[in-house]
Amino acid sequence: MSGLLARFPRLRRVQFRMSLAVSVVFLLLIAVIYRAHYVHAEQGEELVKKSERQMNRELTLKARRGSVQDRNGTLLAVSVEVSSVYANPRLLDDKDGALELLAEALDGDIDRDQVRRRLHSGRGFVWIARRVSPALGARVKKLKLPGVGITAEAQRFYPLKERAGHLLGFVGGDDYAGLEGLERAFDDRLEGGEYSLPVTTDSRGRRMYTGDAPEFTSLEGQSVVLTIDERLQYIAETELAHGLKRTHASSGSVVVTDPHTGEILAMASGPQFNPNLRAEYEAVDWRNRPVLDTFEPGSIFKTVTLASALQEGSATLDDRFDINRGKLKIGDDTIRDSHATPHRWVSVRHIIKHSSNIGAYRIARTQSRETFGNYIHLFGFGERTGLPIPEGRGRIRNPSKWPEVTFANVAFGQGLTITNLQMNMALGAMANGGELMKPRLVKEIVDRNGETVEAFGPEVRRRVMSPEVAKKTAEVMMSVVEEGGTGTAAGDPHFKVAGKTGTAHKVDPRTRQYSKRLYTASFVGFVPADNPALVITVVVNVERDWRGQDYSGGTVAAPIFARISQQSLPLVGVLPTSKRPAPAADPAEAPEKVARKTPSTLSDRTETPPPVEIGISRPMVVAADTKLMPSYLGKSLRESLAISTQEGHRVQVHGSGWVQGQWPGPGTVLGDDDTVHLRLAGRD
Amino acid sequence: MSAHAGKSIGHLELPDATEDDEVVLPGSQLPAEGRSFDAVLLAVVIALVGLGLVMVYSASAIQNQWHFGDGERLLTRQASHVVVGLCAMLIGLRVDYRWYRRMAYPMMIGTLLLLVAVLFIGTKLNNATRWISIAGITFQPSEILKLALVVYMAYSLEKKRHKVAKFSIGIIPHLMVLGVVAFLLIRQPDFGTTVICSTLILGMLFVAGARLMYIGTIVLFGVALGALAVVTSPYRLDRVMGWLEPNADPLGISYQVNQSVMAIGSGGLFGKGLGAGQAKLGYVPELWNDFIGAAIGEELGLVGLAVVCGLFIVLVWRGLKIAFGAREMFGMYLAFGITLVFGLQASVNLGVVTGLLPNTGLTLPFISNGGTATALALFCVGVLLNISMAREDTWEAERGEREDDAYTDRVERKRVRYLRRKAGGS
Repeated sequence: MSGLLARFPRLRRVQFRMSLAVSVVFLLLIAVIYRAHYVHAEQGEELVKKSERQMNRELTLKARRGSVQDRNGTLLAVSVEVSSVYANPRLLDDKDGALELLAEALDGDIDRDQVRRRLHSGRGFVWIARRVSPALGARVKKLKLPGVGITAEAQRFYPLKERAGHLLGFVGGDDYAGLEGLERAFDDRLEGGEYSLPVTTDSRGRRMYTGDAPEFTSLEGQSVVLTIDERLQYIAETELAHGLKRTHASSGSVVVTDPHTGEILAMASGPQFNPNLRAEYEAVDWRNRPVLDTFEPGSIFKTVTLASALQEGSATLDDRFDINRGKLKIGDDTIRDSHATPHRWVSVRHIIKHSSNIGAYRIARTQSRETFGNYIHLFGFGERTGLPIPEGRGRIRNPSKWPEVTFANVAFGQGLTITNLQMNMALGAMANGGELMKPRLVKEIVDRNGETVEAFGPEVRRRVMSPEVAKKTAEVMMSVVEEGGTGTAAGDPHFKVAGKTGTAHKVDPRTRQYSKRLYTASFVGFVPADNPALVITVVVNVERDWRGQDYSGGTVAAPIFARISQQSLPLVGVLPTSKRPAPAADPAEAPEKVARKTPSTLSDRTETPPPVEIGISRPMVVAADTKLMPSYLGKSLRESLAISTQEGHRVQVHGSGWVQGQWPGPGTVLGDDDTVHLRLAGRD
Repeated sequence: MSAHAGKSIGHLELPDATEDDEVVLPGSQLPAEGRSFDAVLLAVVIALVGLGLVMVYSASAIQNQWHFGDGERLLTRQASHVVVGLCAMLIGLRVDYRWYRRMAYPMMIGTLLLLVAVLFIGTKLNNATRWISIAGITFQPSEILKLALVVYMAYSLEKKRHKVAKFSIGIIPHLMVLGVVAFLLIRQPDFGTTVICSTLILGMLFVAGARLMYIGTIVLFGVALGALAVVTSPYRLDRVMGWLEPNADPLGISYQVNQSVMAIGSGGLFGKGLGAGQAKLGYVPELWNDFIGAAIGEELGLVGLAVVCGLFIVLVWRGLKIAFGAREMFGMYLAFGITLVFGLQASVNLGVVTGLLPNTGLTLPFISNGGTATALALFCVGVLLNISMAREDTWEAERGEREDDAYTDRVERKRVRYLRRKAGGS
């Protein structure tokens, strides 16, 4: 052969070139083996994981989210099981036909174009509809379409509708993450664990199951128990809403706390916000005003001015100050009292009772501006109170740089901004004997069995004044609601009220000048004045549209304060007693001190039977087509909620399981908007 | 060259060899009955076809069950294709390959006509018009084209002998054929087959002795044209970009290849086991077609993939051996051409599947599902086997005898007629 090749060089060349061409093919095939080896050796593990993840990617669901409860276990935010419909488009031969069937079964409540696109996407798992009612889910199941399945998912529901809506916030997105408020702040705790559904094809290609999801209760999220008392929250919200409506004010906020523990019992914003219907609102509607709105406090801040001077010892209640007949020139500026007065030298009590601006300036002026500024910070202004939800801080300028007129302004609450809660906490210090408390919003976090995971106790931030100064300040504040004071509307027939009105000018954001239309009307105080159980701060934003419209703290906010305090006190165990002498000269001897055995906690109420109807102020109109209360007995939570939605009334849920008791009972005549209390039990 | 004149090998006296002379191949020195066909090649091909049937079934069963309620649908189809192919292989084995010399032009012209026809009456599938349906039989003209081109090139190169080195004789006519073929294929569009056919034509010109400079220039032009074809067609550009940047669009253009690489990588050394892969669940589209290699890699592992590569290496090696042992240049070129097409398609396909090369849409010979491709590939194997026997061309060898017989017959017939007329006339 070699001889032949030698004799025929052309043949040799052809064979050589053929071998060359074939070698290229050999090299390519060897490269393929090497490449496969590389892919396997270098990326193998990663690719195995990736392919497994891909198999399960769309099938991961979250277990039920924990609930948010008030201090007595009333559910404010709860997850109920609803149905979600999914499909494996590869199993659907007639995709458009299936779409029609599904749309009909779901009452047309799907975005057809979107679902059609999903069905034609070539993916192995797509959602058809998420979180539809279980009834619709059952209808889809009845279609028995191959490749279409139902799984249980949790839907967030706020059974008390607007109640504490601003505080709770809401969840959103496909995975139901907390987006606002407490839902967001406690998302880590509330959210349920992830679990995978053994649906669609597994690696051996078994067909997807169309059964229900497995039990996933063991992965349920933890629940947040608030210090909020739903009944007080109800009072605060309804009275605020009522007050806003009565005075045609635009918005407002109320905070009710226990001064001894710093527990927030109610935190209301107006107008109301129902997180169930989030889509109908805008961001401004769910703003949690008591902690996010910062405002110039106005005259309510004179309480801080007074307390600081008393604590510093620079002024006493016996001192008299020159209010210069209600008009004082400081440099080029003039400060005025709201009403011209014939007086010149007046007492401290007079200054607070009649809310004299010049008087407040005189009191503040007994200290240096640095000392006064220091007290302001000591009272907690200009810093966050430490809530787990987003808060505003307020703004206080550096006191050493205050011009004289700013010093004067700050003394009567202009030229600095605060939040409602900061004011409430400062008042709390005056009410509890001088200690500034850290506000508590969350009482504890419990797991799904109700076992406490984490508990939060009262926390004293610092002492800001002596008990004597606190008592004296309270005493002066009591004069505000007495005959001739600015806040008589906040008075109570049974209890003494310590409070202060405020009517602050607001800066018009457009002109950046104090507006003649915009006011902050406020009333802050605590009851009973001689042994405080509640600190209530009411702040209302007024946009004056006509000359006669009320805008002062005494006429707008004080009545709201009164109605809230009168309805709330019995609920925290402060009851008017006939034995009680009307004006207690010495608070130490006041009999209600004995009546309130446990002033700092409200745990004695947790044992009480379903809470009493408290809508005292609401007129009840019995219409011609009288509604009767249906029976909820024996129903599940989900069924109960369905009935209540149909009937259009509120549900307060206590406990979990099935309905064992209800109030009002079945057959009771109902008003249009009424609340039914359900006691649930029997859950294993 | 004449220095070697008159040298004898064994009992043979060999004539002088010059550039003008017919090259005498080693195969021509064999006795007239040649040798037995290449059993190794046949064994390799049967192994590949068997593996192909198993993998097509494994890869397609689930989706066919989903869509058609018949998991064995593609298996039975492919099995019937294999049966047809085995018959074709028998025909290829029986028909003397030299007979294709006279088929070179008719086949070429017929195929070109089919390629034109497919543009007008072809069936569109996956955005490409590649199939033609006549009397209920659907086939792919571009598959036939590969065979027609090999036959045409072998015939043409043998005829032109050393003149292939001349530009006007060696390059121009073949370049024209290449141009027409490429134009028609790109219109379908079938970029993969265009690349294979171009490589085939240039490769055969190369081995036949075309000057490297010409071929190099044509390759450069071809690459330029190919680049133009890539940038002017969004889908081809996407494919190339998807190859260069697999992570840029993992769910889009790179999806198929990424999923294929993922399947191969997750298969490991010995694979997940036959039937246990998950690529078939729809993650790798066209798994039983172009991407059957992914199924092999996933289920049979690196070892399975290496075995397939090894089988193709053996196949190409046997093909080259058959070419070298052919009786004359036509057989040599024909065997080489067929081998080159198998080798190119296998290596490019597996290169795509493992992410080495951009996606071209070529199938894996013998293994991928496909009627025309399987049947024609097996027929070509039959032709290879026929060449491997290197029998003497009895048709040519007996030409003189046959012509003598025909002459005798004709004279006899005339004589008989003459005698009859004579008898009738008297």
